[in-house]
Amino acid sequence: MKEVDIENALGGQLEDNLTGLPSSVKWPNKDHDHVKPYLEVIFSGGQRRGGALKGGNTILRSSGVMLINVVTVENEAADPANEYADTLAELFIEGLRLSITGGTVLILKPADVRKGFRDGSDWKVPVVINYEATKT
Amino acid sequence: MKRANVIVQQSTNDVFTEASKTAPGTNRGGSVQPGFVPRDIGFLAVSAVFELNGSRAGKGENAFEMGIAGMEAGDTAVLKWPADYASAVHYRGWLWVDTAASQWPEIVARNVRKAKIQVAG
Repeated sequence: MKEVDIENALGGQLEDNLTGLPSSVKWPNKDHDHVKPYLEVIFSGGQRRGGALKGGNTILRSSGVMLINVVTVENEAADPANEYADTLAELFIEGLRLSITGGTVLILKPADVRKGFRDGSDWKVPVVINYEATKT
Repeated sequence: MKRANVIVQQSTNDVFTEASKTAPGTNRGGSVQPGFVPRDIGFLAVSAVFELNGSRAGKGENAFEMGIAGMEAGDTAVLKWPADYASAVHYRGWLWVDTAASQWPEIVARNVRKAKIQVAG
């Protein structure tokens, strides 16, 4: 079970379902033109639990957070960004399972749609997704 | 001490410790590191406020350590960063709160296992 597979599965769930969302996505460690509106993807965590003490030598679980910021123009209505955020949250519903090589990624709880805020010339609405990958 | 209180105190301390890890901010030559509070030219890291059952019980980095010693199961502990730019910094990718919170189930499970061995019920 590899982190690259976990991130690709979560990213794929977004990339394959962009209908009704900004098509421009800023992926980690990739250049982006910052033309708004766009989605900004950030991963954090990847805390792992192994099985070596139980006789195995493998990664059993890996948990973390996927953040998707909806980035729109500041000083305009907040509604479009909030609607995008709600659409995003529906892509990552509680209990969603994504298959990866050697395991499954499970969405642990409904995605949080946090309150929007101004960040420089941007208006951002964060969508926070908690996941746990388990070895099959 | 009751086993439940030991678990609550240790787990709260562990998750707050995890949420209080710092790394050099972008104005100090660092880059965004998810899971860390940036230590930059502002006062974000030291602005941390610890509240227990709705009352302020400590201010500053690691101020929660003393307050947690008085916690009991059922109490409500809050650690927050009231700097007005904290939210923007957090969602630029530092994500220290959400990253630490995502570890809560594992932290509690680990401390339950330890308490069953070390503390009488």
